[in-house]
Amino acid sequence: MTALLQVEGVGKRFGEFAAISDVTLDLRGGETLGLIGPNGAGKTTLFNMITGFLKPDAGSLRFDGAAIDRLAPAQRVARGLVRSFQKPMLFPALALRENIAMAARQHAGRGLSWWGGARATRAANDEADRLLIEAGLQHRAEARVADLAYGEQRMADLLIALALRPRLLLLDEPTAGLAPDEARRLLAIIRRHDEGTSVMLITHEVEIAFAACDRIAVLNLGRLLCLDTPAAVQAHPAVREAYLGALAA
Amino acid sequence: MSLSRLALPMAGLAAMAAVAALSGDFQLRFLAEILLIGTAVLSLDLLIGFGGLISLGHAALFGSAAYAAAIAAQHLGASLPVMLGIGIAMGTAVAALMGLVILRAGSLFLLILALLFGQIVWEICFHWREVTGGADGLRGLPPLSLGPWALGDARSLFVLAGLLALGSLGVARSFVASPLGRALIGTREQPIRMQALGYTLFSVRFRALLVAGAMAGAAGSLYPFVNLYVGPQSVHWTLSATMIIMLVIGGVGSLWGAFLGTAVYLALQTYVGAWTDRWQLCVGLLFVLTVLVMPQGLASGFLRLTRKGRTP
Repeated sequence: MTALLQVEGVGKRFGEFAAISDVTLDLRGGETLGLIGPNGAGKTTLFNMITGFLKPDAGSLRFDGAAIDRLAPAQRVARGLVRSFQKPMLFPALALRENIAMAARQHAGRGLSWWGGARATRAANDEADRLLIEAGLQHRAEARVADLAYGEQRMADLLIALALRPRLLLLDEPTAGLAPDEARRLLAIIRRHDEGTSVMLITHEVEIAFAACDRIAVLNLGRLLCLDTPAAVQAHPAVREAYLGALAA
Repeated sequence: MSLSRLALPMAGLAAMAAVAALSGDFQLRFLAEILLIGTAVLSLDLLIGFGGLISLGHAALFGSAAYAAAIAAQHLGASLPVMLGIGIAMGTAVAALMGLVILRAGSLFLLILALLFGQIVWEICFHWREVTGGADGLRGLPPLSLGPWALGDARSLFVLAGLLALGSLGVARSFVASPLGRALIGTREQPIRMQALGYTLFSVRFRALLVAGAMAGAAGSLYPFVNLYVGPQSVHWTLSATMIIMLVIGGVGSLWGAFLGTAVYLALQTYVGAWTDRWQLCVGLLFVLTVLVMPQGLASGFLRLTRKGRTP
């Protein structure tokens, strides 16, 4: 498998604090890569650098063989690099269907159209309905997202990202705060879409990382402790000491 | 277009015809002024109500188009399509220049940059005496015409302003419902998420500003012929601030509230102003009352009242 994403020697400082130091990792096409580590390990900072919301102080980023360091977030999205956020970022004044359609229209290259916008809107609404049916949320299509339950909002957040048909989907704690059955449903949707889509998954729930990921990268204090299969990560002495100690005991 | 969607424009046209038939010259010119300034306020509503872009330089778009039309009329005659074309082009061009400057910043800085940009336009109008008439402005314009028809009388100007207002309202509604309009709402509500969806904030906001500029420019191009004068106060920041007050009174984000707010403001200015110099005290009180009692503006309050009236 060839690397879809290559992160080489990336670093980021905030004043004296080194949030990320010399991190090198790769993500292969079709792979689900877990990113775990305690709070403050630098997981979200790394996401922000990969997606262009933060500029690295050192190192380089390549996506599908091409350097992406100088690209703005929107340009990276156009190449198929799509992310979600720790908290659902939805458009409260718009209905659920319209939230997803906003992404679908942009993917179709009609996000800024006016004349002929009705056709673009219809096609985007169809795509949104398809995703809502898949998630079992079609009955909430017309609801304002501010009126949705938290679990529905998290699902909506994922559907918005999926409407962009990502090549690499970066999910920042997608199951945080969800009941176990809601988390299972959300993971099932992600798995259904992972054909042709690689996934990078930040999670604090190590059981989810071990069950859902092909490989896991462990960050601690901004440094990469190890990058390996779930079984190898579980057995890694530094990981056991720094992060999994309590779990492994 | 369905019958129900046609009902509102038809009612608007019918009301316009009735007013045109029954009102005198002063009232018709006054109503035309409300409709033209209301159209400029409507264009501001696109930016504030849907994009969250509070601009204190909006009068520059309206006023520069008014100047451009007045100057062109003195040299080329006042043909309606030419005046409208010049106004729309000027409003759009000034909006483009303004967008390149102000849309690099956000919130408070955007407001201040827009104010400064507007004041640069005011400086040009105020000091370029040979072209703009300086502090005296421009008067004695030829009357508007369309081919062989003269349109300089109050009735024709009122009808023109009414048609422009109705057309602008239709354009604004279509814009807000379009993918571009929804994207503008998205940039107001979740700018970071919009970038994560592949939208460039500048592109969305710049396009909205161009649309607002074209609309304000169209209104500005007819203004000198209704007002029979254009002066530097038409590009001054105080007019931009007045437009914001009109919009808040009418209802931010309501579109048609822009006309309601403009009508209330100008009625207070004209009728209370004829009775006392302290008419602005009334505006201030109304503004405070609106913000406290009806923060969504008179348009929303009016709609709520009519819905209550219909409930058995």
